[in-house]
Amino acid sequence: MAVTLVPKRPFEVLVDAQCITPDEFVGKSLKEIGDLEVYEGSAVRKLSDLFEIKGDPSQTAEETQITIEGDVWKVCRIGERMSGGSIVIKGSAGHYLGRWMEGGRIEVHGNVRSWLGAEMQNGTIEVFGNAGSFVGGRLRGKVGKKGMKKGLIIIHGSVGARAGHGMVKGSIIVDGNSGPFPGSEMIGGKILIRGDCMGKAGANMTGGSIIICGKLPSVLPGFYIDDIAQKAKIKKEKIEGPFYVFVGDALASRSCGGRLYIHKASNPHLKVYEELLEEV
Amino acid sequence: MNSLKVVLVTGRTVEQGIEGEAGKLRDEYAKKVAIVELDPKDLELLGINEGSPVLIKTSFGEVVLRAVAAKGRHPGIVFAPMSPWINIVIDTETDGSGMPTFKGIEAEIRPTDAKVLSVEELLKKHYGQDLDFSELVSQEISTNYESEEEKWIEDVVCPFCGCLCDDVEVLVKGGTIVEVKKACAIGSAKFLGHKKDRALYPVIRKGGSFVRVTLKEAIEEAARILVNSKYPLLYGWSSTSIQANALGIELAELLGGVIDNTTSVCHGPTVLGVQGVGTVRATLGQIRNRADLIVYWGSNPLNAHLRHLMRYSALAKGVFVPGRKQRKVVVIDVRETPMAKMADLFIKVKPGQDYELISALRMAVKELDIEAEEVAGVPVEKIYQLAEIMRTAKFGAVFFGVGVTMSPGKDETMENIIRLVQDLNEWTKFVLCPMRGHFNVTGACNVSLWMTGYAFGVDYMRKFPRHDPAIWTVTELLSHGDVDAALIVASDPLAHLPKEAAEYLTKIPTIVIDPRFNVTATAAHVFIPSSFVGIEKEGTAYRMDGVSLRLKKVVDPPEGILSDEEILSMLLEKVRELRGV
Amino acid sequence: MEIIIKGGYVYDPLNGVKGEKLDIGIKDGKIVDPSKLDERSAKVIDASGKVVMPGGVDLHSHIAGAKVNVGRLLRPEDHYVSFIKAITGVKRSGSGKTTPTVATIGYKYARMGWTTVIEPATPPLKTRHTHEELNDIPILDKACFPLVDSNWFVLDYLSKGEIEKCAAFIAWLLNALKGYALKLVDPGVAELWSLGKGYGLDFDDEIPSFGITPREIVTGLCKVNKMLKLPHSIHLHCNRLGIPGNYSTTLETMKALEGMGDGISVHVTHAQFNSYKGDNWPALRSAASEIADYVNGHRHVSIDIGQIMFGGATTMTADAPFEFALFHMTPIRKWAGSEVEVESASGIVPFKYKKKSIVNAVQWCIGLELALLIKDPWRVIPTTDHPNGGPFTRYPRLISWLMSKKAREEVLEKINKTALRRSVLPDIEREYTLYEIAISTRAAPAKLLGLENKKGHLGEGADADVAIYDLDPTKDLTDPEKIVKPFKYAYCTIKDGEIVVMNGKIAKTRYGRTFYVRSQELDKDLVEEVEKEIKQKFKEWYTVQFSNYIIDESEIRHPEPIVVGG
Repeated sequence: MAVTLVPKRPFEVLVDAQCITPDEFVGKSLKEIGDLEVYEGSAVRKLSDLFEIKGDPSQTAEETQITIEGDVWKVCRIGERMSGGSIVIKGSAGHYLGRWMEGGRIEVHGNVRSWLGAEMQNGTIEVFGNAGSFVGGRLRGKVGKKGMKKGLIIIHGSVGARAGHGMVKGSIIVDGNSGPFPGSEMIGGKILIRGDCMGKAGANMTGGSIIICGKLPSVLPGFYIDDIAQKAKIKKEKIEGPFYVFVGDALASRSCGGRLYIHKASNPHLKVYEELLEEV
Repeated sequence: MNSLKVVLVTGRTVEQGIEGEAGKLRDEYAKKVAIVELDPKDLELLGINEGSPVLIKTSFGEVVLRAVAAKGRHPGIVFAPMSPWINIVIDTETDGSGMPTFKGIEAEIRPTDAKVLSVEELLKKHYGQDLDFSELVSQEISTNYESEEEKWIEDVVCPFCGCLCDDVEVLVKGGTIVEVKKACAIGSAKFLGHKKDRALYPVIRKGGSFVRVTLKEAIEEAARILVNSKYPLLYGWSSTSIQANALGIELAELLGGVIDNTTSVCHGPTVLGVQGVGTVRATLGQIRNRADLIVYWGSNPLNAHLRHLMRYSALAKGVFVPGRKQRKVVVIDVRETPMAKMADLFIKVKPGQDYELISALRMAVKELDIEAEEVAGVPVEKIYQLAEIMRTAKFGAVFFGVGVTMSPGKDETMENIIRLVQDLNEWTKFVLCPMRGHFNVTGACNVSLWMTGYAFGVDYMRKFPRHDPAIWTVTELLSHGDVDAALIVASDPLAHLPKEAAEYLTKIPTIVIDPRFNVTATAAHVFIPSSFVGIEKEGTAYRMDGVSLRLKKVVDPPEGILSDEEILSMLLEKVRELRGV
Repeated sequence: MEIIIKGGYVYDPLNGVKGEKLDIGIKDGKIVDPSKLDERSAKVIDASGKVVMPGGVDLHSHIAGAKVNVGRLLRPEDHYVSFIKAITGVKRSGSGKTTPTVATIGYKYARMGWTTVIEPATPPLKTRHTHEELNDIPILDKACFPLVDSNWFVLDYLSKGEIEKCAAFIAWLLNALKGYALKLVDPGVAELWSLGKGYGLDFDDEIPSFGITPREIVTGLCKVNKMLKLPHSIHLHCNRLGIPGNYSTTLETMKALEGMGDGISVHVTHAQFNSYKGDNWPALRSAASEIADYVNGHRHVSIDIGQIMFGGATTMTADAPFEFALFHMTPIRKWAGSEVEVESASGIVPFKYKKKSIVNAVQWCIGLELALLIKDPWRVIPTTDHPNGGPFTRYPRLISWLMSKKAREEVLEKINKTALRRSVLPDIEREYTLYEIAISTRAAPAKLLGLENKKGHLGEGADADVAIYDLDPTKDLTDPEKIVKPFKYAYCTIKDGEIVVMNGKIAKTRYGRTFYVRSQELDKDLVEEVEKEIKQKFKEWYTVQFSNYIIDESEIRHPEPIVVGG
């Protein structure tokens, strides 16, 4: 049921390891898993060149648990397209972790780099450390409903810029702070930032909600104050407000389908907007 | 008071350009760039005189610079020329764009008794480099030309900046350029200084010193380093020809490494903006001939594109717009620059908030209400005013520079500017043009696009091109130690990247190919001197508006010095040989 | 190297060969009499049960230059999933589907058995860029057509009635740019676009700045073309492209060029986009019958169809106002506009053609109607106006639709049914023979380009550009599926006598020629006088020096001038 990978030595360069997923391991012997191809820079290697492989693989992806014991900060594309099962990383992980994930669970006891869960279709990712830019993001150049479709990403630390870029549905929960531009071009779904946000929240959003409990230095010009909400909700969790509710981004769509929930107490500088509410 | 909280902006100056071209390891360079410009009021608040050393500190580092009084007024903002000194305090976070934040950084500044480090001291203290390179930076080529015949060469294309002025005239006597007409101060300096402070032979780092070797030995050692590495980075490329660039791409593909050009720390965000929304361009002649509104946003042409105004924009003679009087000039910047003083309207934007200002302008252009009273430090009435000026122009053009690309917001800001121009096209003619810095960075992007499908930051790990600025750009790769060797061509990253990225070049085997022994070369394992494209070697370069021109060879290179193209061809051949292909 | 291609079914229309079993001989890069070669020392390729044709010739495909490159920049997503891996010593890597990189273009054309491709629109000031890209496209022979219709020199001379000076300018321009033929795109529209106008410019509307009409521009340049004896006619993207009801403009345009002399006077490119009836998009109907009737009755016109293919495309043309309008009509909100001083403009907008859209379904029908209703395969060329209608890699599918009614019906089943009433395609029985395909994809384009001595045929002396398809004409032609794969992956492609594709895979990378035209027809004194005038105006109009505008032969990898007149 479980396969454990232990890095044999510290990684010197980026490694492309799209084969480390339950779907790839299913139905293979440990030797066959070891023969899977990875790229250590330009050098084509076998997985067993880089990792010690132990355990016993299983017959279905759902039943497969892969544990990586060690730091894989430079190893990219782990969990890409996985349809089920789980990956537990006892260390930090590289770029594109869980990209295009369709189901199952990824857990990281460390930090992750950029594009965590990019264009995720479903599943759950939980990171105990920090995450880089474009968590759950839609790839550059793409437009429309190509982003994260479903699923849940939880970051216990902080995230970098552009979390939830182009999100269609699903939830991203950040316990710590967020870099600039969370929810850029968001179409639907929910983002919760319990800490502070560096700024520029919801740029070009047309749907979905972003809840910010900490500080947001300013609200983008394309947003209008709409209401004060006593609570905000994400995935059955009710968060005590009150929250200023802004709708926007008028620059992306005049129907202003996106919502920002900004915590009132954390943002005294936004009090000026209350006057506009009274006017309505 | 003794310390001041300020916002730090780093960028180009004319002196930094001139002295940088002449050689960054000289004292004159240090004198001109290891400085920080403060508003006279701030100098007063700190209780110091001009010329005193100050310590500037950010959350990433601290460095001592010499305080200088700024020419314009910008209390609370300090400006430092881009240099290895100020890069000690710059962060490597790129927000997934590949571009560090070189402008709009929160800093603290206070007087100090410590002195400003010389370049050798800086290299030793911060990069652990202390090899003697004095001979390599001071080699002079004989200029005995008095009795020689002289010849004027016309229509020479200047190989300095993205203006690519092609009306330059040079007087050549005995293989030396003795006079230059029409080029700006920086371009002239490059032409006239072509024989000064050259490195005349290749060297390899051996046992604590730089040892002179033959070209063959240098190529062999360089090829060996590249073939033995698992994942090399090939970086630079913007100050050399298309032809050399093409060879670089071929080499990166062969080695399965990454090839990135200086776009990633210059107009990379602009390129990323185009990927998202498109662009609206016109050649410089179209702008010169027709534009009655010129906007400079985060760009100070008087610092880095000296003939831009008179050849292409505000001061130029256009077919339908004869001169300055028929044009309106608007400058948007975080501080009052000399360019701002020339403008009809100057708008001061809060550092790091260009994005907000652009959004507000777009709201105004689209006649949507803005709820705030002020955006990015600009009163909303002024924003509506500017929107109206833009909408009612016959033909508007916005030139933007690293003032916006390097500030927080980066590629999102650039996408927004492009969207603004697209929005304006509903009302009138409006185009944009990025003020590309190096003379062939546009060319580097173009050849990369047609060969790989991407303008910069291309990975060949799996033998086909991939691109992601959050991963495969110079700052990301070096600051995270993701590569294990570097080939630097026509660029000086150790002088231009934030410390955490630059210092990694001292930890991996690095090969440098450049006409001069530059800052990066001081940390190199192999240095191969090359010739100047556009002076000693012909080649193609692309102007900031995409027009390509053929750079001329006006003099021979120094004896034994080959071009980037020739060196790269030899390197490719050797790599193939070592690989057995 | 010597090669003998043995026993294939040869289709060589320029030499009247209609599928006979023949041997083809190759020596020193040219076609030779196979009986003169020694079978023991030559390489013998067994082509029995296979089709042998000259290499394909595509006279309209946007493969190189500034707007093609901006197209690549605009669409990184087009490159993520479509790519070619490098094989050291054999092929370079590449990426892209509707905005392919240079290697991808060369290899994918060669894999289909195409060996000569023309870039049909290059802005003069940026033509050096076009050549640099053409230089890097492997395998193929190429040429490029400079845009001339909105050029200030042209408009100035024509509006003053100075046709000889205009001709001298054009001759100078083609030689300075190493260009091949004259391209006109929505003639005069780029000049109006400088003022933000131009959408819907019609044939007899006046362009105020020069007091000239598109009619005058088109007829003027047609005359110039004939005066200079240029090998290809003017290559024309008609006014009002992409606007419902535009077919009347197309007819007016073709009529205006009657009686201009012998041979083809105008090549109307991607005519599908200019064959629309109806006042607005929902009322769109096909006018292919009207256009086809005219073309059938008048021998001075040739066309290429500009077929749309359902799926993704990237539209890119010098018709800037049209592209700006399209930007507003699509959900993909990307637009890359551009203008070149004195000369031209362009726009790029990504697009998706959908089966369920009435408009796209009618458009799909129109292209095929044109190809099937126009009787003379020597004057109607199948293209997709790559990448406007779709990528060139879909040519095999297009060929199957021309050759098989059944294949067309399979698509007609799936598209918006209303479209079926707006076009006569469902009623057309005609199916192209393999011989007609050989005409329209090889012999005819070579002839229209004036390259029929070297290209598009397998007679002695021709360039040894050969395509061998794993297609048995005695068996495989009834099933449309059996047509697509052999054309997609040629059994063998030979370029200048070297095997570049074998079994559908790239075997070798080499670089082809760039053709350009030098006309020596005009009086030397006139040419000198005009050059002086050009130099004078240059200072005032341009931001580059006159001498730097000129492209030298040394900048082109393998330049091959075609000298005409004199």
